[in-house]
Amino acid sequence: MLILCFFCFAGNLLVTQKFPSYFPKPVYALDSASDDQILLGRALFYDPMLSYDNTISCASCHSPYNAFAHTDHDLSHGINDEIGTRNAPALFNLAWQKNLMWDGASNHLDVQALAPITHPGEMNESIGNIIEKLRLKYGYAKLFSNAYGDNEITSKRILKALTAFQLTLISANAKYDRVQKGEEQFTAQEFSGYSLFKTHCNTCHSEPLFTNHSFANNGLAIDATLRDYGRWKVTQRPQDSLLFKVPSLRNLSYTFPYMHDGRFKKLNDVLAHYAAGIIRSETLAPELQQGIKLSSNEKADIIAFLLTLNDQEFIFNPDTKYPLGIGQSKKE
Amino acid sequence: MQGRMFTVILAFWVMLPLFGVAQRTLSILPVYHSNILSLDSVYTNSTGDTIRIETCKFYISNAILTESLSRKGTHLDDYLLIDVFEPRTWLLGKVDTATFYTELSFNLGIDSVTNNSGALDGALDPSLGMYWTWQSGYINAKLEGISTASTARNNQFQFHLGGYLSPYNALQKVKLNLTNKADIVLLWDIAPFFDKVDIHNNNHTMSPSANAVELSKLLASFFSIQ
Repeated sequence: MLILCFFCFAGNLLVTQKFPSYFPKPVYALDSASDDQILLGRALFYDPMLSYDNTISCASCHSPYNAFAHTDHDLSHGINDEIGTRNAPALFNLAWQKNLMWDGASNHLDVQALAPITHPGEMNESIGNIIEKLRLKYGYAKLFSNAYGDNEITSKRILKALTAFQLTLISANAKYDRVQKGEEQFTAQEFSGYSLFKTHCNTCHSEPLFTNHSFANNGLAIDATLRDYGRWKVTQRPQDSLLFKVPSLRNLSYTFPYMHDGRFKKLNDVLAHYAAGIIRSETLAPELQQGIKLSSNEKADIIAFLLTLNDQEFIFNPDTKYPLGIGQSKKE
Repeated sequence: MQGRMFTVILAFWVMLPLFGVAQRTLSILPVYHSNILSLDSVYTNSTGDTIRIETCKFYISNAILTESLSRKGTHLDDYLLIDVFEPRTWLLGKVDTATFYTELSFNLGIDSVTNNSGALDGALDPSLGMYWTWQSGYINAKLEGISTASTARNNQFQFHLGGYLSPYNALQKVKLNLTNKADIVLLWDIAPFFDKVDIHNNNHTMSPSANAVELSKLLASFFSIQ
């Protein structure tokens, strides 16, 4: 009963996250965080203090103007110009993703942040140090106290706030969505591309999130220097060798280069791979056994359709951008 | 040997005020043979190799005391992080003095539901060094030190045992019979670990694996009721 009362009270503060009726039920609750918790998470997301030498923030590799991906970089960068082993993925519609990372190594959005924060080649920092730094930094006592009722700083509060902010990154107003809602219509070329998409791509890149959140081997040749076997490292099951997460196709114009190691710079390169570049191996996705052969007209149509998945409203949403004056000194 | 055991019991009895004398307690007593484990001691195993233990922590979770007739179970605190070198962490709980319990069961480690529950606090705070950051999951038990048997750098051994996904779920269930209403002392003698594990070839495990499961089984087999 007490708990019920608490939720009734907290209800006044909640933001209602908007997503269309044709979206599935999210796996993370979208209404459990208060506006102040989201604001704290937003301040933390953009704060380079999360890295050992205070130079790298989450946004360094998850840039808001690139759908929170690291556009134009094939592999992620860390402190001291260290280069990682995978392409920093775009962050949106995370509320529908149970497992994070290209190999699903993180089983919950809360704990995902621990990986880049502690990785020596990324932010190389510990939560203990971050807590000490935040205690000394102007503005955070108030942010924590607004978010949680008192200014105690704990790892759970930091991680939950980062989750709260990241769950607000919802991309659901691309042209595709406006067509679904009956507000706009596809052009003839986009419509043709949509039909081809449904035939050739939709099994894995399923509507409306454009991923089925599974792991698959899409026939990429092993990179000789990275030697990355994907999900196999997590599960140690041979059937998971070379499987990587199926990424969403939303916001593709902002998130190049493509694939877990960023090997393809253009959508045409990706389509060329599916047409003629697939490397056969035991774990190759059954859908790709024959490749996806498309005429050049069909390729153009599919790309026209894929461009309708770009969500400008999401990219330019001021509520998810750098929080000026919140928990930050002006120079940063 | 009996004299040594007497010393152990005496030492433990002297420490009882830490736990509150008037209560019937359930606590862990970590030993190497009959000596309470200590950071400063150097132990010798059956092959004559020396062992110094520097870190030894593990999770005890979901401890349940079962009554003889009703089979009713009493749950103790859900998740406890035991640091064998911090005696204040040895106390697992306080027990009803009037009830005759016949069985103690608990998990060595953290169950998969909890492993999938996001950021937690208290004993489960991921910043306590008992959580893998590169791949989600709790380290059920951490055992580190130096042994002349180890061929690793600086003769180190490092076992970070965990994993909640099949087939390498390292969680161990322990069940022990209780025979009286006295304080329950859960003896944990780690000495056989260094006799049974070939530290020469098997001196580090840092991720879920078959070896981690085997070593976890071994650690779970060292519990007995004193």
